[in-house]
Amino acid sequence: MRSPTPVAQPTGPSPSGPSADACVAVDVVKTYGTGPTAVRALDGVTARFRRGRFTAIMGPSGSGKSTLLHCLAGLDTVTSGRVRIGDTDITALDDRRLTRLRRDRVGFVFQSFNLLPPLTAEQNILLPLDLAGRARDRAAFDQLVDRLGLTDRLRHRPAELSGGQQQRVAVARALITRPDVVFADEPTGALDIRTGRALLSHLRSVVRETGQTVVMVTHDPVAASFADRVLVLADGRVADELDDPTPGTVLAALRPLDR
Amino acid sequence: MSAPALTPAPTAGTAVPARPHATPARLAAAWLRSAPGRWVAVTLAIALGAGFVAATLTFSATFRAALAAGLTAPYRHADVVVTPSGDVPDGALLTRIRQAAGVTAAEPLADVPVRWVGDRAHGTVELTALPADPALRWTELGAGGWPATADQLVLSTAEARRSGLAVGSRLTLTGPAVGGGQVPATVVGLVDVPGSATPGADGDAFGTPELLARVHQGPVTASAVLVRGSGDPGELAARVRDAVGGAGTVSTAAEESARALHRLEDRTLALTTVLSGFAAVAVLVSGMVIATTWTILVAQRRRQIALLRCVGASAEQVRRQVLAEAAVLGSVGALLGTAAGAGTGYLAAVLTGLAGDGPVLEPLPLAATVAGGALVTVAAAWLPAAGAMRIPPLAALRPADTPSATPPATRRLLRPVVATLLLAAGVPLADGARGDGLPVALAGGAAAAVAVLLLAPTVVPPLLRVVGVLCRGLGVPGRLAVHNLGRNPGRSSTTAAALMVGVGVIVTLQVGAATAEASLGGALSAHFPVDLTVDAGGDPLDRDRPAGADGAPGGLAAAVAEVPGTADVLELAGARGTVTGGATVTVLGLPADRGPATVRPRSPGEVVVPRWLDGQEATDGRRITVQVGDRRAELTTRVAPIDAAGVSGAADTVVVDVAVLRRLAPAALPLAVWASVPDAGDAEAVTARLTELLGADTARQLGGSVTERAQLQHVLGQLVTFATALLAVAVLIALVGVGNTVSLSVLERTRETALLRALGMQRGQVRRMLAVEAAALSVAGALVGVLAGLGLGWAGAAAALGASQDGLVLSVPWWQLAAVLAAAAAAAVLSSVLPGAALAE
Repeated sequence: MRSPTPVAQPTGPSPSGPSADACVAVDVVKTYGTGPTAVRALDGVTARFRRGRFTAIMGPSGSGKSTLLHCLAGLDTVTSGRVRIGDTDITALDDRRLTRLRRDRVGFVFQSFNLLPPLTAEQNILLPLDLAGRARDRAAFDQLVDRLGLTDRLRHRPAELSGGQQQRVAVARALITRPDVVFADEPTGALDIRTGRALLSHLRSVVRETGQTVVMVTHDPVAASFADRVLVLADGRVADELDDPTPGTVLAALRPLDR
Repeated sequence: MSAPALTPAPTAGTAVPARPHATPARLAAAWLRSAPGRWVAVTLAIALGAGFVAATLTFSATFRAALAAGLTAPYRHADVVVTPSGDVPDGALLTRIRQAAGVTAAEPLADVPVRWVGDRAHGTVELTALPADPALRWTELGAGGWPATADQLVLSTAEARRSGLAVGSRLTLTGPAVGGGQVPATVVGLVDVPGSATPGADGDAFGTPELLARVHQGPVTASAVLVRGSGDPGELAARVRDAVGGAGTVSTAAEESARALHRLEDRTLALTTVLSGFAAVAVLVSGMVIATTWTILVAQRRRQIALLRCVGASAEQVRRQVLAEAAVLGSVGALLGTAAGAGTGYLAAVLTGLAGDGPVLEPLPLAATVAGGALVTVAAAWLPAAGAMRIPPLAALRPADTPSATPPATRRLLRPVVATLLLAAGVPLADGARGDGLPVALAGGAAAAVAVLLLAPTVVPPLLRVVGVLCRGLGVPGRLAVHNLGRNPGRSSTTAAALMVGVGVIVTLQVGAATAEASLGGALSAHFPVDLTVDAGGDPLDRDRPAGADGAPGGLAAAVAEVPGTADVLELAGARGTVTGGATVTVLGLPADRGPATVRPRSPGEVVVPRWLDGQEATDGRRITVQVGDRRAELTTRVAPIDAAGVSGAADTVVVDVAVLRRLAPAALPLAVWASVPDAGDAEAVTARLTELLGADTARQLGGSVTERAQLQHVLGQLVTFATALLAVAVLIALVGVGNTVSLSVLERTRETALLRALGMQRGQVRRMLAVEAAALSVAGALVGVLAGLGLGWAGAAAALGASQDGLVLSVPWWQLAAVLAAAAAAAVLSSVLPGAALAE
């Protein structure tokens, strides 16, 4: 067994203390199964995601990038280690508190199947607020919807929307609560290249304008180049880290991992 | 890039008071609206269950009201009713009553059963004395006029319609008295009698007291006296009571009506209980189907619910949403079902002739049915809702896989243990309750039934494997189908169990009825030595032809022998005679080697006598003299149940050897025809055929156990048909469940089927795979149901009949059981058609 030593320390200064990080993972280990057949999906990952930044997580298949995302978001439990969102240690939360955390402080955008078919786009976007019993901020809602180009699509049901529109609705829903962090799992995976690029531009501009924190898993170097920073995983550990990536630098960082 | 100032999450400022129920309810509404087709099956199950209860309620309320109207009708215009004690003649009693202060009218209430023969038809009616004072008549004249003389009568409109009689029809009436004369009468009017009689009961007719006396050959004793008077009925009753003294019991008409209704409640209690029992079965089955279907409805939306959890719905919100759906659908389904059921119940009352004066809708019980339907639905959705709560948010990110939930080991063990205990307690109770009566047996049977139900998850999967072996022959689709059923044993067994309950109860009924019939048939044979007798009350059947000495059939006997189902037809000669002591008897002669041994003289020196001869108990081995005309014979008595085969009429029947009869009456004419009906199943047909053969000849009478047996068969057959029709609803609900289970497996296997199709599986093969799945599931469920039903039906019949061991004959209606199994399989295949079409796409 390898020791869970972090390969890379989070870079950059952290002048304002822990609150400058939207999300922090310390020594996160995740194993599936027990005994000789156990699989160590995450093998001591330590990473910090600073507020207002857009981070991409990359790595070959089976490197643990999706598992890391699930663990950071509280969708999956960690075997050991700590995950903090804002000032809350989520590994210590029960289901009820985790649910409230997901509802109020975390946003999700998945690869596909982001929306509830029976609800309109508007109802889907407002779902987290409805579930919390909170009233919407009319101006913020209009602004967000306008930025994502969804104003004339609000009454449509998911089946009546294109794939790109559906993903933009999902982005709007993830941002409507102004969460501490938005987790995106291959958000462009089900889209064609052009629509995917358009969605990422939308995502990046919204993030920059509203100061949101985004953590996105992707296997596409071009998609990753939309981020401010790229974290490269391999065999359940952080293998590399790039600031201000371009498709070229991302490919170069991935190449040694291709076996 | 540095972190810009973060807008604080709007938890404090813009928060409004939480509406904890709003979102689940709204989501439920959205889900219900979005795919209405998905909810059809479960709504159907709810509606059928509630509809059954509503139909039962309306049916019994309607027919009870109809019966009550009929029962209390005579008291309609009376203030006080006097029930004679029988100590004082009716005339004297009437005089006393009329003398009481305030009495304005008093009329005797009397009736007598009458057989009537018309030009083309014949039948029996209850002939009631029409009150001479019109103020006390409770019927409304519909056509014609009231009878004025002793040769006129009025008929109820219903009876006239049933018999094809009209004003002006001429009838010949015969009363029940022995040797009663025939009285001619004309129908002069039709009356509307309130309410309606029990089906199969006699119709109503009204005539003057003189007509009754003529038919009855003497005055008919009044069963009550109707009294009308002035002032408060209570005070009137007190005055009448003083006048009557000990000659009768006096009560107000209201009290008498209440008493009649109370007796009615007692009489209808059995039917109400049985109906409630069936309703309980229907509710149980629909509850099971609703629960399985709801599990499916949750499983279908597994990813959506997980997504909801990702977005921040709490487990409690998910539960509330599922329960909100159940509440809405439960209310809608129950409302629809109750409305349809109330209509069906009334229709059933109309079809059985029990509708009376219109539908009776009891608002409170019907409202309770709707509420109960919603409640049962929510209760049935409780476990599926709990399952929905346990769906992890992560499931939103995975393809729709439905891991089978394995209950904790303790619960797995608990079921068989509890079931075994219940069986151990229930079976001996149900079986051993013969002496202790029905309630104990019912409790035992219920315990055994619950045990079988609990055992379903243990029993059904292996059974499915057995059925599966049979399906191997169907090639790849068959093998796949069986494999698929084994994937989710819990769900398979719940579905099969729902079917099991329905089928089990039907089979219980069928076996119970068949066993009751066979056992009662056995009892009848002991009582009635001869299956079938025809006689003319002691008069010769054929006046112009002396009977053959050998009992060979001729004339009517030959005609009886022609009727399919009869055997051993005997024509018996006989004559009027007397025995020691002077009592008149009918002497029948039986050939030495013919007829049933129980009533056959063992030697020429023996005479077979009934247990009661001339009002005295007879004993074996006494020497008596049998005299016909001036010839006499000294014979030794043997007591046998000859009365049940004897010639109808006032005189007792004795049987001697035919040679003895010839000595006593050389010119004896045929008095009776005896025949056996070897197959009890023919009883009803034979009776019908013979009734037709005898036609309007009122003198000739049909007797013997065959008529009783035919009646028994008829009543039991009607009961079983009725009950089976009712329970078929339960099976229908269960089959909805089978269809649902199959559609879920369709849903779970969309990808897999796509792969199979890609690998070259034909559309037809896919459909066949599903058909085999549905059929295997149904046959497994129905098989357990049949086995359980066999046991419970036998035990039930044993308990109900309270029969001794030797009297009980286990009878199994094999073809009915086969039909039930075949119907279950066929219906299941049918229920797989829609999902099959969906999957084949």
